[in-house]
Amino acid sequence: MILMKSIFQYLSKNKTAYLFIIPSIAAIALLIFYPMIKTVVMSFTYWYIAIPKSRSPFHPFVGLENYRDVLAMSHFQKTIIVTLVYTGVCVGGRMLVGLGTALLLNKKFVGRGIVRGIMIIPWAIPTIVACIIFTLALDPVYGIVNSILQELNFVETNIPFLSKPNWALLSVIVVGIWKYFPFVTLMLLAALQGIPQSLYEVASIDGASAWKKFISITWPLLRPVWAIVMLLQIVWTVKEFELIYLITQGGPDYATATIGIDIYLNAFRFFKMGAAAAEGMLLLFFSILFSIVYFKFLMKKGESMW
Amino acid sequence: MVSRIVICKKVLFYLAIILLCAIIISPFILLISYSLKSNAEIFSFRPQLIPIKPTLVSYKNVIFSYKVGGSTFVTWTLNSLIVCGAATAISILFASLAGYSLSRFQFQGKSIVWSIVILIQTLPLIIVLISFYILLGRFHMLDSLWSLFLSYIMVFIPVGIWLFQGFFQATSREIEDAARIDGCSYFGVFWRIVFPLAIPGALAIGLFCFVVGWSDYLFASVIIRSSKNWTLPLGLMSFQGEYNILWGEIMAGSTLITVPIVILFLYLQRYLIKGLMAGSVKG
Repeated sequence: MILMKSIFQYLSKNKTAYLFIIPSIAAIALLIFYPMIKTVVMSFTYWYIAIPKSRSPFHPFVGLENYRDVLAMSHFQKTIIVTLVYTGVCVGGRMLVGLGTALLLNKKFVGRGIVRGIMIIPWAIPTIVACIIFTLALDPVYGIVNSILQELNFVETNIPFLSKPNWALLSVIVVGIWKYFPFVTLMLLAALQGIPQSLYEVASIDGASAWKKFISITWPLLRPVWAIVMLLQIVWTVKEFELIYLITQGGPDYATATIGIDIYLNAFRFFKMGAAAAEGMLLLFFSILFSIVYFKFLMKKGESMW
Repeated sequence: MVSRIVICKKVLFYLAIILLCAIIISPFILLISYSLKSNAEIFSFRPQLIPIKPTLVSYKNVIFSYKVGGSTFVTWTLNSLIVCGAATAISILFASLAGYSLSRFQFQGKSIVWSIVILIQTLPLIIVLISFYILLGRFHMLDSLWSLFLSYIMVFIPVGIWLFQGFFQATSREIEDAARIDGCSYFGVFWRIVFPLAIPGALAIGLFCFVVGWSDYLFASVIIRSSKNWTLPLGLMSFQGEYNILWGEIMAGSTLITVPIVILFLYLQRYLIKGLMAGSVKG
């Protein structure tokens, strides 16, 4: 009775907090957690829409069979390598280009406001439109990229960017860097502007060179933000689907099929739901791993800086 | 001698800036330029950046003559506007309440809720989509805009909570406390004081969500089948037929769906960056 009373008191004190949060929690539970648990279960059951097993239950429990099927896929190794290369090069490229441009835009110059304004354009262009533009620009016959390369005498014959495996992977990586490096730039720029100007003035009086100032002031203060942005980029890039799929559909011959694309193809083109679910679990494992690291960083930083 | 080095540095600096601008903006210029070309000019072996004879014929074709199964670009625009608009409105309402609660109140389980919200940001949604698709099939809800609406809510709410929490964390709570002392209820405070002050932030967060839906291909391609229910990305992809691609029309359609978004982004970017920074980096 006393317990009930104290629970009630506690609840009424925090009533508003719970009331405000319940609609969202309900939606998340129903629309995200419930299907996600179903997918986890699916990854251990036979679920191939095209060839249902006739015996009941309709979707029998098969243990790790789906996982074994995924590992035995002839292109599985390729998928993992493509995913790692795409994620590594894209994130690395964005972090470097982002850092360079943020440092550039942190200087005062005529028209800085305009340049900073247009930085957001690649990010604002819908992914599907970006993919359409690059598909035409990289076309082997009518594409403007080939025509410019010819004009400058860099190449003799047109390069079939999207139909040769390595060129296709390079192309989607370049588009991937172009589309999202402004996010990195703008985040780092915001962080750079939080560094007190007085530190640089003191360093100038001491006669420090620009490089010395970067190494001993800018970088140490920027690094926490840089690390967090990079972790976010990794978890967002490793599951990339649309940007690649809408340019190459994962082809030619799985050369650009990251794990996200392979899951989509397995699930919604070949309707091997069980295998897709099992492959999804691998991606999930990786994502959770990195989000724990991200969370740790966020907590540590929350204590030390803000 | 010294001044010559300074001038050299200046020139290099501005060259770098110009190069950066060119890289950023050239695909956008290309888009608009191609949308003003006739198909004959697009299929030339020496493509030019500036159209020789600018024409609006592609725009006319996209809006008035292109049809798939009786549905037009206008149908798909309306579908996209309605589904993304409704999902954004509902999500903003839910997420702003939750974000406010997380930033202002102390309660049991708060850290768990917050960890879940962050974890979902990194979750590959295709995992959810696999069984979402099966469930929709079981309830005979495939190929319906309602299902797409539900799936966009599922995407928008966690992002919204994440951004709103950061946003409210960064705003002062003094006026709210004063209103509480004057006898306003918590919901009254939220509705009369917090939300009106948060409108620029809410617009930026809303735009962020809206654009995710506006350009979504993954969910739409899985859930929607018939052309009367297509959203804009599905409609655009249909221009890429098996044998010929209507590039002029695709580019005109793409320009139509891109330019308003780009203008809104430019207009709201200050709030957007502040919100993202607060949510993703400051934690």
